[in-house]
Order: sequence, then C-alpha cells, then structure tokens
Amino acid sequence: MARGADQVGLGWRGELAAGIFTHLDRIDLVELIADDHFKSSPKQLRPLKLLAAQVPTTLHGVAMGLAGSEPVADFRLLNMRRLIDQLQPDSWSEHLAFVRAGGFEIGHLAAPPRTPTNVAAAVTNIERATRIVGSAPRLENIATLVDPPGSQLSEEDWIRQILEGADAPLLLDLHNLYANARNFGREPKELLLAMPLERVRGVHLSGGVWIDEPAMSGRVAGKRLLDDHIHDVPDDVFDLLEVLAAHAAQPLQVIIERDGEYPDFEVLLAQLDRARAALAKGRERLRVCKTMKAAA
Amino acid sequence: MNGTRLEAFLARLYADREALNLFLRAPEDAMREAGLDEIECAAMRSADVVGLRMAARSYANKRAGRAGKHP
Repeated sequence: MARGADQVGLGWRGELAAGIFTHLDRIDLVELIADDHFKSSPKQLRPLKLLAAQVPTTLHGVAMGLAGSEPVADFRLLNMRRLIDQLQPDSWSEHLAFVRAGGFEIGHLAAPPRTPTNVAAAVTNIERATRIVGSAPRLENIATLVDPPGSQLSEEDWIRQILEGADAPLLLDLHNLYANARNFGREPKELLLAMPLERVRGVHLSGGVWIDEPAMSGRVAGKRLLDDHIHDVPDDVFDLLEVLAAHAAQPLQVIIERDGEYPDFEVLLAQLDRARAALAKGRERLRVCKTMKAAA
Repeated sequence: MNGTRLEAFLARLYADREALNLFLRAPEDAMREAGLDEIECAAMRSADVVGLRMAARSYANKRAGRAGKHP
C-alpha cells in the first residue's frame, strides 16, 4: 500500500471473520466495534491482536454520547484507552450523538437539538475524551429519523462548529448523510459539499430501507429512509463517494459496514471494489480540475 | 433553553413508550411535568411528531435486538 493512498476495508463482525482473514489481500483496513471488546479477556483479544498485526485497524465506539450536553462518564473513556493500549489501532472514532440524558438510556444514537449550547458541551466532552484517551476521535455524523426539536443550527454548521472547536477529524458516514438529506428535503450532493470536507479522514458506507411514516390525521403518510446496515450500499451513496474524492484531496479510509443479512463474502468484496472504483473516478476528476486550474 | 433538560425530555420520549404516548395525547401536561421552560415548550410544540414516533419505534427495536446491532 503506497503511503498516503486511499484505503478501503470492512467492519469486523464475527460472522465475517473467516472471510476477512481469508481475503486480507483485498482488504486494506478493518474497523472493530470497540464496545464489543471492552470486557474481553486477554485470551479473547488474541484473534484481534493477530488481525491487527496483519492489517491496519481502527476502533469505533458506539455508546459514549460525546455530543450530549451531559459529561461523559470517565469509565467510558478509560475503557477506550485500555483497548487502544491493547490493540494499538491506527485511530479511534465515536459518534456525534447523545445516547442518554436525565437517567434515561435511549439504547442507540440520537441527534441532540443543534444549538450553540450543545456545541459548547460537545466540544468540552470531546476535549476531555482526547485528553483521557490520548488522541482525538474521528467524529461521525449520524442518521436521524427526526429533525431534532429546538435546533438553531443546520446539521453542517453544527458539525463544523464542533469539529473546529475540538480540532477533531470527521468520520463522514455517507449513508447517514444521504438518509438525512432525503428525509428532510435536502439535495444529498449539496449537503455533502456543505460539510467540512477538509476534516474528513474516514468514510462509512452502508445501506438502509425505506419505512412507512405512521398514519396521522390530516396528513398523507410518506416514507423515510432508515439506516439499518443490513442492505447493500445504494448506487447514490457510491456516487457521493466519487464526489467526496473529487473534492477532498487528503487520503480517505473507507469502511463498508454490514450488520446482518450477510450476503456471500464475494458480494462484499465486490462492494469494496466499487468503492475503490468510485474513489479512483473522483481522484481523476480532482486531478483534471487541478491541471485545469494550473493551466489557467 | 437548557440543553440538558431538553435532551433529558427527548431521551425519555425515546426510551419510555408511556411518556411518548402522554406527550402525544397531552403535550402541555407532559412538558409541564418535565419542567420545560417556555422556549423548550415552543420547540416541542413545533416538533416533527411523525419523526419522534418513528425514532422512538426505531430505538425500541434496537433495544429489543430487532434491528442491526451496531449504529
């Protein structure tokens, strides 16, 4: 792998372990869900250390709630630090979400009201996480079925202000971005180009499903796109990856996430190849654009 | 507006079906009980109720293990 090149890989899931180990020649990096391994014994971590010795890895947290207005508990940050010490990944990441508040556990990632107050609280959480864990997390945009009540900032402004305040990189989930755009009347490419693309280091690709809105009186029910990770990456999302590669010059680490209804491993490998092809097309557009600018 | 209080109110709607039903049936009662201020109440009065219901259902499915395990 040339230094500084784009990389394309998969999210580690037990069901995919055999396929991943068998096809490491076609997988540039692997993302591990950190929370699955916080309580693992040294013996249980051995296969992951074996993996990390053969391919670059990144750890992905799912339950800190860094974008919540409440402080994140120390033990959550220390869990990540311990796992990083044990597995020595290239990077770690978490979500721009809240997952609990006022003693209520949502059990999943939720979008907080996008306000200046929330930005300040998120920056404080992320700065503390950076200090305790030892490095800044890549921060991921989440998908949401509801436009957070009380929001005063657009999604892109909210993300930009947090990343700039905490001086943190972006893990840009293109399916999350696509779902939010489609669900809330935005043009996906326009939303993509409004994001702080200069901060993108990692990219997530996944799929979802259109679900019916509940029937409510006086309203025609429509559909919304649910990000579920159990469907193939749609064509539109590969197109967004090409656009991203045409506008963000820095190397990108792209991970395809699949959490269930697993297809043959060859299908996943073909999706990795499609991601590489989209990156290559975007990089060619970027090269042509730079050449034309230089000639002008 | 107090970010922590509004997030706590939303977290309860997402985590507690009864709380969501109360909010949908009698929003003013639910908001008063939660101690929301006038700005927070205004935010919730104009909330995307369809989205709130869909999000709450999605989170319930996640908690019950009926959806993809990871975000």
